[in-house]
Amino acid sequence: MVGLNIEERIIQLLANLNAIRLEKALDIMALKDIIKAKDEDVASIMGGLQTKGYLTIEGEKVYLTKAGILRAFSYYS
Amino acid sequence: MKVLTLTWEYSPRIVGGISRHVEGLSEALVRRGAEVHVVTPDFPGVPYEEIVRGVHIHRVSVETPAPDFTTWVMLMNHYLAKRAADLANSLGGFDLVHAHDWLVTPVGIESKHFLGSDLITTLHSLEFKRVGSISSPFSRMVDSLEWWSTYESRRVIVCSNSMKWDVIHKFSVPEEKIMVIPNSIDTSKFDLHVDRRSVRLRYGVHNGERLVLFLGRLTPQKGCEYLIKAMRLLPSHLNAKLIVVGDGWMRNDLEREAFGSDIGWRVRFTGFLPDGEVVQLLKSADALVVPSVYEPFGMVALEGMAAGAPVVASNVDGLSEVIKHDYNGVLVYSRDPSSIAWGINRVLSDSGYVQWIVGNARTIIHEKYNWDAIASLTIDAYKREE
Repeated sequence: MVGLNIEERIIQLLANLNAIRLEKALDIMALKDIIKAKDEDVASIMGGLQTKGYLTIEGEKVYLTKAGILRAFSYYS
Repeated sequence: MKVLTLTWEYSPRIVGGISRHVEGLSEALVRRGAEVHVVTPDFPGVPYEEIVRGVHIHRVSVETPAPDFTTWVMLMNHYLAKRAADLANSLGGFDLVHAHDWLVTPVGIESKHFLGSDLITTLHSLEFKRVGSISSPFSRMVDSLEWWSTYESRRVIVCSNSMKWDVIHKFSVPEEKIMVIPNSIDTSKFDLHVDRRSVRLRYGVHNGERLVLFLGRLTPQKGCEYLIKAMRLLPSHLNAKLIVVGDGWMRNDLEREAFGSDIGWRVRFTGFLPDGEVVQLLKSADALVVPSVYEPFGMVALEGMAAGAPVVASNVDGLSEVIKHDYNGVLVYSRDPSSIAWGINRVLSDSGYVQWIVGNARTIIHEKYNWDAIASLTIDAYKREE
């Protein structure tokens, strides 16, 4: 994920971890650990991605929506 | 004939054109008496197992988290192979395996050897054309998988003559091993009345304004950036507005390009839209622009033709086989905003010309690009020559 901005890194991470349903959702704390960016940056970007419809945040969990999955894999089709 | 179809996308998981192609082909094969089992990754909101219009769909969860996309692909192949093996055991094997694109090459080859079945591969596009050169380690892997699929397959199907020659020259595949079978679309979904005025208003296109439509993934291959630049070159009296339907990793850059210029108010990004909404937009558009840099076929051009939208397309690869300039559409130079602007201007300025190309396009669609004809050709590809 070198070279990608934080937004894209979050989307790619969730797709590769198959976090596409609530039962497969990733802990937000774990996501912040992996992304290794400032907490406030990650929180703000995740909020933006949720507004755009790419991910769902439920409590302490986060997973991709249908649009998020398609967005993530658009790199490779 | 019992067919195991392998694909990384199947409706409603629609990343690119593969999904629509495999869906249309599978349903047409079923209508011709084949038993088709599609094994594909899962997607939220749809069941793991279902039969849709006669096609047996088996969706598989990739249970193991992956650190990157390459690993994800290999794990996905493992889980597809596991499901394919279970199916083969319960169904008594398959007559052949049909794999779509490099993403399922490993499972396609495994299935061929385990099942003792023939492997047919459809290559939908090629890495060296998508990225321009095979320089990164990732591209080297994809390129190699594409080659491997042609080597292991009894027959390689491609969607255009330009792609056939690309495969022959790139992978040294014997010409007789390759079969060109074009893509198709389901024209019946365009047989509906649409209130164009209300559709256009929904997207902010008012009376006296013209609707220019882009439909596709927002990636460099699709060339949307050149279309946005072209919009700036259009004469103001045309009152053209651009609706960009689709999504992709370039979206932020494209929005910056559009909204950072004086034409920002004339561009709207919708993201992904449901099929029904796309059909309504296609039927309401004054021009559908396909500004791709590389397009092995160009399914979206067919959709525009079926919907009665005048198509302005790049003169590249498969698109130049689908569109005959000044006959069923307008061909323009790729990566050239001024040429794209010229093409849009051509169709927005001459209603008689539009009637001519739209009429010809409809005739060609019905004569040449229907799924039953494509299924018949595919069954020919499946058959062994005695």
